[in-house]
Amino acid sequence: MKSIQVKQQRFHFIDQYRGLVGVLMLLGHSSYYFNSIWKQLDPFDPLFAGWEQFALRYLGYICAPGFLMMNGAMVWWAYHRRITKGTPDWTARWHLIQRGLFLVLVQMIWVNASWGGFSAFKPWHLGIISCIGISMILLTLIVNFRWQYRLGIALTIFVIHPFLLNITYSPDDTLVKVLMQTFIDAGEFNKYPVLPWFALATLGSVMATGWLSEWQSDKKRILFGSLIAAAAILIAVILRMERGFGNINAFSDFGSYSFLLDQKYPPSIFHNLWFFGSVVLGVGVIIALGRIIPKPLKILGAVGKVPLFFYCIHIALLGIFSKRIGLFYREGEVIESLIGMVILLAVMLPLSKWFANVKSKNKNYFILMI
Amino acid sequence: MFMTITKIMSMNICIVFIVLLISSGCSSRNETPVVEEDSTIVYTPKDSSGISAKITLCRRVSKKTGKRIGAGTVFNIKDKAKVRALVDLINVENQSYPELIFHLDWIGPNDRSFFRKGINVSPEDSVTTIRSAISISPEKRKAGRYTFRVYLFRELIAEKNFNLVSGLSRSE
Repeated sequence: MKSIQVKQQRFHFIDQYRGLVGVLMLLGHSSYYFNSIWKQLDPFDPLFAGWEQFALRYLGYICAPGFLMMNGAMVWWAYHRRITKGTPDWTARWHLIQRGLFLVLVQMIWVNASWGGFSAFKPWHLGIISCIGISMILLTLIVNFRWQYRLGIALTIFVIHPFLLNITYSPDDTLVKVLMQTFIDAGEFNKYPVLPWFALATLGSVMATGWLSEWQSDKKRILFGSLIAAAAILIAVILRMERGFGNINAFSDFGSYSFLLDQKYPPSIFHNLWFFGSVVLGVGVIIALGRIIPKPLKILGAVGKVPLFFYCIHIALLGIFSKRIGLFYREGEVIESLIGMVILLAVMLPLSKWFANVKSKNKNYFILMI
Repeated sequence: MFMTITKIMSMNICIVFIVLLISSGCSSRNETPVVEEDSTIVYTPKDSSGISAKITLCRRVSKKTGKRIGAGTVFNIKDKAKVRALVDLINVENQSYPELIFHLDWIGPNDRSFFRKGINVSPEDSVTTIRSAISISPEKRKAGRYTFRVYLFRELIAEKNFNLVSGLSRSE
């Protein structure tokens, strides 16, 4: 196992990319509550009447891969920073495991209920936050592996997962359904099974080795990141065009809706590679933009510093005002979704800045966990 | 506060603009639909050799002759009655795709999809018509305006609106 010495510093591009993903997620959730297409749209089997609705939905596809990879990067970073400071190995891991468990609890106690504006308590359901939490816990077990081994583990999971999807089970058998949908398959209990998303988080930790340690300049981060992104996207396109292993949904032509919309719940190999490349490319773009227009990116950084707070509060606001009180709930279309996003951002940005300030000055265990 | 909102708006406009540029090349259908004589709303393919569709809604199809009986856009709600949708596909035999992915979607007066059917067709199958049907018995359906939609590879290619009415008047 390799011990890596890391310096104490904050990597603004990580916060800013997380912030960008947070804003896109906000747009997607604004659409979920204000856009009438959701009266017909099945996220497991999406269909579109026009390109604006397709674009609006597809923009949100980057969010889960983006958050998982950034979380994986931060797990790697947090672990090695603690080790560098002299923290014992399992003490460093235990802190991260606690945070992972906390995320699972947040999903069950807060997030599930917030979608409906807290009209009902719904703990028996998992989602993206719990998926990130469980991925964190699993990642602590391999966080000090060399990046080559972590890469091998992630790619092995990508290859094996499609075979595991062939396991048949009865949805009436609750225990089996919970196990399968927690780790392998997507369904009403959980749309984000851990295995493929943990693999993406692991790839985030692999990229962290470069972004946060080995590549000491922005030029190297941009160059190597772009090369890796291009390779991943090229492999994804080749897999897709072969129309064989690695694909789940058929498609018509390169670049069509159906080409881009391979299965997300759970993700196909194409989906994983395509969005891995997209996230790495996006991080490179953020690094580059940070050198040209650093001030506007601070807005993104404000969101990215407190992503869990941002997630939990904006959904609660949407759930209460739109779903429970009935304000414009699924009455609009694309324009209304954009307006909703702008209004929510105007509310959430100052809240996020405030909470980041509270968190930086607070030693309360739960505040620091959020 | 004003500067923050201005920055947010500028960022939103940039994001939307980039997405517009990228997305404009993804759709294979013309944005402006053509309304046929039989009221089918068709989103024609950008490529003239692409698949198009014509929708016929009727009460039943004769097993002997295949004739579509009671075709129209207004149907009476009554026990054991159905509305059948027949989608005639144009140019399907000239396609080189390994398979064609269709979705047929029925949408109610509340704009909610209440029945969806996925149909995979191989161009070699020589299938030129795909079908779906819904019950219009009083327990299942209410009077109002409905829509039937046809999607190919997740894009809308045709749709037809129709009305369900209560009462004893004869359907068309």
